[in-house]
Amino acid sequence: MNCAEVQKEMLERLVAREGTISTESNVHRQCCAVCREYYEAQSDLFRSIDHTLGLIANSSVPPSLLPGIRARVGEQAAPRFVNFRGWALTVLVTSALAIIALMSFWNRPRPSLESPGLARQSAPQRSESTPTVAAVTRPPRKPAARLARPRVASAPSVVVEQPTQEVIVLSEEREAFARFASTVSENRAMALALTHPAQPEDESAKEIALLKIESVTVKPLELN
Amino acid sequence: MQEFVLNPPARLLSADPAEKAGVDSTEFEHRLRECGPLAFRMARAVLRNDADAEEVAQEALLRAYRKWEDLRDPARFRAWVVRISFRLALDRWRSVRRRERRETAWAAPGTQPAPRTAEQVAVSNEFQARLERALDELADKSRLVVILSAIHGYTLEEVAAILEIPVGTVKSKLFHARKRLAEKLR
Repeated sequence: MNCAEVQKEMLERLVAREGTISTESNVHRQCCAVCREYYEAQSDLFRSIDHTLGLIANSSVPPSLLPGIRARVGEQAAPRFVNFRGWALTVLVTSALAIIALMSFWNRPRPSLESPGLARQSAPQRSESTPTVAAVTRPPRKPAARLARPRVASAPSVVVEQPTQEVIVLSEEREAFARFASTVSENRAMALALTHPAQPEDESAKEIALLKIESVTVKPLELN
Repeated sequence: MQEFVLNPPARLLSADPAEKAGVDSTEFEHRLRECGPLAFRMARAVLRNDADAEEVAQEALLRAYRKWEDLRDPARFRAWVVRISFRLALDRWRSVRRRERRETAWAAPGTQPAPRTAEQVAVSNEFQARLERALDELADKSRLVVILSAIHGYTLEEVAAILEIPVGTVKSKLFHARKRLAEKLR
């Protein structure tokens, strides 16, 4: 091995923190003053590097470090609690508002499916026919009172909130309807007949009989 | 916030702010004692200033505290703290250097910023200054490996575990970094 090769090997061993060099290089180093000097210089250099790096990397920790971190962690924890409370309050308020909105949506006044014009036309029909049906299908204990508040009572908001749907009922008509309503529960058959369409007769029971002409008399035309 | 919600009510009444935040204070204290000095030394090696290094270490551990749920594993916690303190220290060091360059450009030519403290003047010597300059010129990852391996008590295997890289990579980076440092200092 020549000096260059030995010095290269020495340097690599020192860089790699390997203390020993090969036997051949060691023999060469003992014989060669230049290589011996080179090895000692490089060893000193790496010792200095390691020592100074140790100084740089192992500086003494200030005693205020850990208390400082604890204090900052404490500061950090407190706002987290406050933040959580704020967050929870926001969630509560939002959910309450959502519930109120849902409730008002469900209880909203439902508009009639019919157009306003049709509603105006159908209003009198409702006042005449609907109570009759209610009285017939479910006979009330107080028919007059029941019939006096027809189905309109089940949806009062519709009637109240649509003032344009005015129904003009003459006083005679109103009296006649009251009379009819008072008698309708007594005469059940009449009420049924009035409120239900006539039952179609059984087609199968009918027979079509052949037309029978028993006797035919032929008379001559009488001329004037 | 999530930890807070998942906590039993008894914890919410605790006087310890760490417990209020859902962090097991004993466990965190243990990690703090283990990783606080490491974070400081890492930052100090980059910044070469105690006050700045302390601030950086505190910031790194505070960030680790915020990410406590993800960093419950001790090895992960340590690795994360080392990396973040190194990164924070580098950012600060670069910003300081930029500021110094700006100030130097405005100042009269030839004037150098004075050393910060008398202690620094006493401790520093020419070789250390040269070594520090050589360290600054290393690539970030190589510098991190050199500093970590110089901290007492850390073997190459531990450095590899902290940096989550193979031991061979640590050896290789260290070899090239030391060779470069020697070239600069020769």
